[in-house]
Amino acid sequence: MIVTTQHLYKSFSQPLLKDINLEIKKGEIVLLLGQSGSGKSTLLNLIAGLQTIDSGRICVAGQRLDQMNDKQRTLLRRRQIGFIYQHFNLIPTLTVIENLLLPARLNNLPIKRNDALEVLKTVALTQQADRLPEYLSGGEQQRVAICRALIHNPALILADEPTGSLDNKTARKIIRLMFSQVRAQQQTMLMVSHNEELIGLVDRCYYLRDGKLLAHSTLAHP
Amino acid sequence: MENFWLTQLWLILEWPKNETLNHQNSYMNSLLLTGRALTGHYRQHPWQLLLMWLGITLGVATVISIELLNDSARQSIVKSHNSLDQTASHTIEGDAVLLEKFYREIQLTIPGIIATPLLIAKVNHQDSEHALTLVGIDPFTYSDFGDQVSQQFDKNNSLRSLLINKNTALVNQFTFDELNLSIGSELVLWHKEKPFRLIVHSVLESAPSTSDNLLIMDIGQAKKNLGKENELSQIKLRLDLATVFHKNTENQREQQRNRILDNITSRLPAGLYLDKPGRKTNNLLQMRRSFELSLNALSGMALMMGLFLVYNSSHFGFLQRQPMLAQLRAMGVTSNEIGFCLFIEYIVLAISAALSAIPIGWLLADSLLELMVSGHIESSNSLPRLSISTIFQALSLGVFGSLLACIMPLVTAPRTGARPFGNNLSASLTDDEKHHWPLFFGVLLLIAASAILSIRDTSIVVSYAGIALMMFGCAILSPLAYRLILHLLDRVQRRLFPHHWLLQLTVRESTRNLSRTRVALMALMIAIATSYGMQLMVGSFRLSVENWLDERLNAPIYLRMQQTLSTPAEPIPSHLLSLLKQQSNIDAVAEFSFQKVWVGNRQVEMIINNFPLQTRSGYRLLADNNRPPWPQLLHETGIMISEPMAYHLELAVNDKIIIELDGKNSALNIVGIFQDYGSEQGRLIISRNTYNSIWDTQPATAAGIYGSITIQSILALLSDDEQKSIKLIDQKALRNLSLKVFDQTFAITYALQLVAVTVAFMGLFSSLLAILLERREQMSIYHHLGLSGQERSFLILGEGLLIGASAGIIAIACGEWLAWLLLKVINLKAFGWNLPLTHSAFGWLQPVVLGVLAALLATSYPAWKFSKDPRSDARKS
Repeated sequence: MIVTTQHLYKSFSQPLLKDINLEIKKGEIVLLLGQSGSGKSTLLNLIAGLQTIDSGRICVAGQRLDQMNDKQRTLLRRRQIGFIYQHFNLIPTLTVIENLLLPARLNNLPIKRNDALEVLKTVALTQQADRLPEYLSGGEQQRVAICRALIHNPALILADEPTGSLDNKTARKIIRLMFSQVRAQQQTMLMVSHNEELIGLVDRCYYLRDGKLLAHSTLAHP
Repeated sequence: MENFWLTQLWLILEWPKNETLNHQNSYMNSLLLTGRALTGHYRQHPWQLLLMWLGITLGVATVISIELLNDSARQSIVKSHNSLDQTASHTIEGDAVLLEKFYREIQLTIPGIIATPLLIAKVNHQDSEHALTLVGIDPFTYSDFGDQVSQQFDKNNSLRSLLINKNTALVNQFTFDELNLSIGSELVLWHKEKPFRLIVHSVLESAPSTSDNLLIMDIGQAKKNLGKENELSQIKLRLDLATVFHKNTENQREQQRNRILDNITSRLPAGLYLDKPGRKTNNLLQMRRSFELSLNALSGMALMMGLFLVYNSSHFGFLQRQPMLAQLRAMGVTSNEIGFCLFIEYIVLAISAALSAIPIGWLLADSLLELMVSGHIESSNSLPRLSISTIFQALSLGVFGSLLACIMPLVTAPRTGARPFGNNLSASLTDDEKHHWPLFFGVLLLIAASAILSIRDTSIVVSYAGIALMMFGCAILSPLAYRLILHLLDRVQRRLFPHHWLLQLTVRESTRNLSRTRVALMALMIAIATSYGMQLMVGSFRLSVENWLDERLNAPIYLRMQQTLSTPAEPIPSHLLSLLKQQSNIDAVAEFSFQKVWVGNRQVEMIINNFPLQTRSGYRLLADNNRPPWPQLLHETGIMISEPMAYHLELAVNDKIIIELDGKNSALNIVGIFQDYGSEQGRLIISRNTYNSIWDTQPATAAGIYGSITIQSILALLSDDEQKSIKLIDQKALRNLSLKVFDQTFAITYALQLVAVTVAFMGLFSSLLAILLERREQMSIYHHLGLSGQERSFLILGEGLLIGASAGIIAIACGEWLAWLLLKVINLKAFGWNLPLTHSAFGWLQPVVLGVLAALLATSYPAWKFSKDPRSDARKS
């Protein structure tokens, strides 16, 4: 198992997540659906170690996240988790290729510029390698963000509405690219979205409703 | 934590050598890439980097320049009074003429002393901007003193040369370089409009005066050149008891020593005194200390303004980078790594800015030196060399000051949480309203400041520290006052202009942006308050001095003999005074003589006068012993002392003081204390009759002439020679001259205030620019909602005006308090005079106008940017 949560509780001013039990196997793509404010992003934050749980257990890549301090959680994120955000969140002061190389450098991986260029080639962005993110379109920025999330081969990729800021056509392209990359590298992904069209594209799907996690169904591969 | 920082530093230092250590290289690469991500921010906001750099540079440069100026002045005092005194145990000098026969007399008749004569005069050279000091020495007797100058006589046969070759001189290195001299070259010098020539024999290798012009020649030649055949300026003495009284015990030698000194003192002509070389210097240094302290306080304020600017810029830099920091944290960059990268960033910036502050400080000091020289403030002709300690001081100030100013980002940035999902994380700011610590802290500082300042017996440094606390407390409270002003404005606007939505938006936006403009407001308020407070203090001081001059200089015409600065005042011939007194249109002649006397450890000026009725009316008495003081002064051997003297020596009416002059100590009764701004050291007045009954008669060296007369009518009474030998000056000219000197003295403080206000202005400018960047999206929305360019610029201009005017209003209160403290605490402690606080009619408008002008200047660029179509600025991200 890459992700395991047991009896997980989290509340802010009122209880948000109640008794969440979730298991994600290696190589799975899992979709998390739910209405705004249902706690989808919070669950993602808890799994990423960005927020702490009130009670329960979280294991990521075999490590007890709920027993770690901030530094340990940071190092776990550095090594085991890749992030894809709705607003891309590339480092604005680094060029495209530097953004790509940053996770590799942080993890002491012997990835060189040419390797990174090869990765960019798969998303047709080689020409943009030395440009700053602000000169890229939204779709281009999200392609770079996907490459950045995958380049250090993390155990888990967390994606929060990765197509939320894109038009439909570009969104479909990005989803196709993201899933193909994840499957090609046999990586594990937990994605949050409103888009129910994606149900057919993922391995498993969950709903978050009234703080409870409800399994949708297990679907066949597209 | 400590290990982490040490490891990072080691990695940086060892990095180039460890090419093969892949793990470390990769780790360094990750740090460098993180650092690059952080510092890349400045590529997009170079002005922020520039402002931080300017803040450090200007602040440190001001401190360095003042340090250099103070060093220069201190060295000048020490050199001018000690340059040829290092090995002397005593000196004989004074305001009266020292005749050579007195030197011969003591040399021949008093055993156990080694004496050498000196003749010192200021001479001019056409290629030098400043006067040169010519010192005539007797090479034979001077050799016995074994100082650096005399040691050189042995080295290169200078002694022989000075004696054999007529008009040869030794020059110090500074003069040699400044006048482009070479050995054997001829110097044409002028003294009292008479030229004479000197040949440069050699350079004084280790001359005591390294930065002032110094020429040394044989005293015999010097006398001829200067036209002072029988005169000396000083006699250096050394008691040689061990040689002469070698058989005596220590105690006997001590008694002998006292006998010799008494013997010399008893023979001293009037107006001359026996002194220890360091005594006068220490006294002068003491006098200068208060002035130095004021300059240091002002330079400290400039540094504080600079650090405010650094704080401001680093704060904004941090806020703007907060989303990036959160992103980096989410990607796995640890808080220590972020802290380390920021630390290195600030250190590199601080060192580079501090290094560039050194030449800028030098240039600033050079310009200020001109002001000091023109202001007749004791200073050297040139700045001292930059020492290692000055460079070290600049670096330390720059680095520690910057780190202190950047403490907020340094502490907060590593604590930045990783960017969570579902949060767009635009730069978030804390809301002041939720925190009460500024109110508590500000009030606490004001209480502490009041407590410190209310203690009478503290040093002036502690009082300045109290004032600094007071200013800091006011600064911390000023955003709260600004919030209150905005709250009141909001209410007024709702009542008076309920439909003026743009005005409402401006006030609301100002309140919302307070956390961003807070530091700028504080910096601007402090700069304006200091400027206003200083001006109020100087204005009050000036008015007091003006009134005092009007009262004191109440004779229509003053007379003295023609003289140069380097020579003692010459007596006015008695026949001249008699002639004046006989004139029917002259009501009275006040005959002044001046003596430097020691009262305890303080040298004060004694004014001897016959005190006609007209002169007496020029003295405003602050205290008496309930009996008319003037009859006591004129007929009962009483004296009156000035307010500074009473303050410094803690004297009161009816106290007796012992006056030390010409070896005669006399105890006199104080019968009154008078207001006086002429000397911070102190003055005492004594009637001529009383003086003559105790000490030898002193001729008058200045006279105040009362009556219906003009300069022309007096000149008409005199022969051509007499006309040339005297100087007449009317009351108005003398008053204006005194005020001119007063104004020049304060010119340097205005220059420093300007630096502080400029830095504060830049702080405001940087804050508003930062807001501009942050509000691009918001402005875009306003644009879409239909706000015109003018309306958008009204928003930013209005906010700037509110900040400027509020800073000005708060500065009025703070500045008034500052002025009061400067007058009632600092001036009293430093100079001993109590000055009233006076206001000009519309003086209080000045801080508001200054604040509004600064704000308008600072907001004009952002307002112009806002007025443009924001789409052209929009960033794709």
